[in-house]
Amino acid sequence: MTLTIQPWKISEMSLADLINGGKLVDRKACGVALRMAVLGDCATQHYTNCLSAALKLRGIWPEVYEAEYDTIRQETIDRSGPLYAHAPNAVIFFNCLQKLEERFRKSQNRVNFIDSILDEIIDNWNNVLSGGARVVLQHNFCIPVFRTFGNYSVACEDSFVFMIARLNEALARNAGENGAVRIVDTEGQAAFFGKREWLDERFWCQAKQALSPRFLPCLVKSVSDILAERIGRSTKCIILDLDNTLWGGILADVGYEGIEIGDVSSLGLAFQRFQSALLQLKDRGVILAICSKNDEENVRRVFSEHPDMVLKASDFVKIVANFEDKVTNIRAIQSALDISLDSMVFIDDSAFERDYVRTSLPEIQVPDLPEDPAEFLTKIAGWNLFETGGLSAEDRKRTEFYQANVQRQEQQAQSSDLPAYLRGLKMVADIRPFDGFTLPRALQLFQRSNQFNLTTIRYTDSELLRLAKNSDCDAFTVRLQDRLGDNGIIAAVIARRVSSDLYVDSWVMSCRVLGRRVEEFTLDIVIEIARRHGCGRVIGEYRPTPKNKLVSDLYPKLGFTLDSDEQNKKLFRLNVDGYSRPADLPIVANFFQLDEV
Amino acid sequence: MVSRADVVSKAQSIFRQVLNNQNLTLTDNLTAPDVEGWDSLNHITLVMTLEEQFNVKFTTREVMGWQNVGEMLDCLEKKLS
Repeated sequence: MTLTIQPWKISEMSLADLINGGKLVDRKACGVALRMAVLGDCATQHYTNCLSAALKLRGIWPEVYEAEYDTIRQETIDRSGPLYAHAPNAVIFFNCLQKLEERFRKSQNRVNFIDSILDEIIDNWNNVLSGGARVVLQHNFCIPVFRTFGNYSVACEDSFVFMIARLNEALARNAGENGAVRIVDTEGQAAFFGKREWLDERFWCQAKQALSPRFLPCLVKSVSDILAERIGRSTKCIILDLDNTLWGGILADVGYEGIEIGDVSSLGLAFQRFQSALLQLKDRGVILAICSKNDEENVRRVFSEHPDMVLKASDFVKIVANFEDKVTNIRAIQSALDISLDSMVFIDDSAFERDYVRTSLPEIQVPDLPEDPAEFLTKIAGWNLFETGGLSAEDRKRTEFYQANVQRQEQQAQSSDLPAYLRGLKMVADIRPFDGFTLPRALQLFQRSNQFNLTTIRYTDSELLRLAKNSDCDAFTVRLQDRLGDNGIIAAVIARRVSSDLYVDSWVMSCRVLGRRVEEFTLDIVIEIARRHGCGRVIGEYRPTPKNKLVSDLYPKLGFTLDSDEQNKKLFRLNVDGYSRPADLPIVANFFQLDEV
Repeated sequence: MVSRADVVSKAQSIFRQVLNNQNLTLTDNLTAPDVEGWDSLNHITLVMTLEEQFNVKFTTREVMGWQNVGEMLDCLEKKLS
């Protein structure tokens, strides 16, 4: 599927261009549809039009219900009303500062004002979630510019500034605990653009608009980022150029000592700060790769010996430095890492290279870097390229996982005997139920996996918890380790017992471990579970999506028989008695308290 | 010094872009109900885009007071002179 527009570009569009651009996209151009509702206590027409346009331009077809002005309470309480009749998957609450100020002015109980607002908002969430919504997006509040207590406003509990900061903090905490609620950081955006402009009073007074509409493209872009991330679209990898992108100057011309990095110059400092930001992204799970027209030996020398480099060779999953064209090299990086192009961002100072990559590989995001390296960071912040819904232990070690994988691939390529190679890996898998340790990563796998995902049900945190506690349900994760290191949790399965069958509701796996017979091994665990419960058959379900062709034949390949074939769903069955474990499975299982699930 | 004709021509292209109507011609007597798509929402986009493109700022009273395109352009012209 080709994107209608590169997502970063939406943040640079004018209001009129965005709205008019959205009108040009029809249903057929969108691979997926999303049922959603927008509820606000400010005028939301502009907002909703912009958000719909942004989603369409990203290939997501919005089916929107927009509530009447300032009807959040009624709509969320009235179970027989239009909101629930629409049955939205995602509900967006756009509460605004101006309305909060109005309510504060009229409030009889100012001491408990913020607590009562917090309770009300959380109640709204719970209402729509119990009414069928899968995810809630809650805008936080822009902290006002008017400071009744001067600087003391930030410390005085009676000041509105103080109260709103406290409310925002409480909203974020409660959203995190809930799991199905995501905060839209309106406050962060307003601060980014400047609140004097953002909170243009004229628009509230004339039209009850909570912000100057010129900032709507950026605001809705970040809302669409959350929604896109929820359906498995996020930035997993940054591919970086080197000369004049990570350091100043052309290495081949100025040599190892001549590049600008660090305190040597203003420019050197700008590049160093850019590297620090990239390191922070790497530490939270975005992997980094190099694609540069350079001599690899010289590049490696800079990374290992230059004292002012923040990034080291070990921070990258792949360093490609040669004189091939960049498209060929990016394809090579992509196949080595096995992640899709639309989850990659390419950063290069050269307009020529950017244009070449963008035209040849339209799925990869190629933002237009500003000319001045001192502006890189601010500009990249404005594009919100790195949306995520959580942080798992796997995120912190992702670079290591991919590095080990690249090594494995190289060794596998050298080995002519695949079974012998796999045996030599000495793979051991930990099988654990969904618990405090495995749940964050299981959630991530269900939300992010697109290719090896049999049913693409996007479970939320609370749903997974409920399934884990359900005694008719067996859910487990697979963590794979081998001679070359830990791969982390790479697969998750949810199976339910339905009469005497074990029904595989969901099965996801990271594409990092394809080709290592983890699929066969996972089935073996499923059979083991079926046997323990005395189930005669295992039923597997496959629901096709534009992205999961990879597993369309998984069940037949594993020995299942086709049971029923509907348009959006195929069912396969396997008799437990007829199954025998492949004799040469190269993976050893370790079970952890599976009985206690 | 900006001429009235310049103002009208630039404003017209802004109107055409915002209202997505390439055939629109601005006249002094034109009002919102005369033009397809010129609803209250697009009105806000129009005013905002005029401000951005001409680098001016309208007061709330000015925006409230316009009876037709002519008065809007008068106001704009006065700010630019």
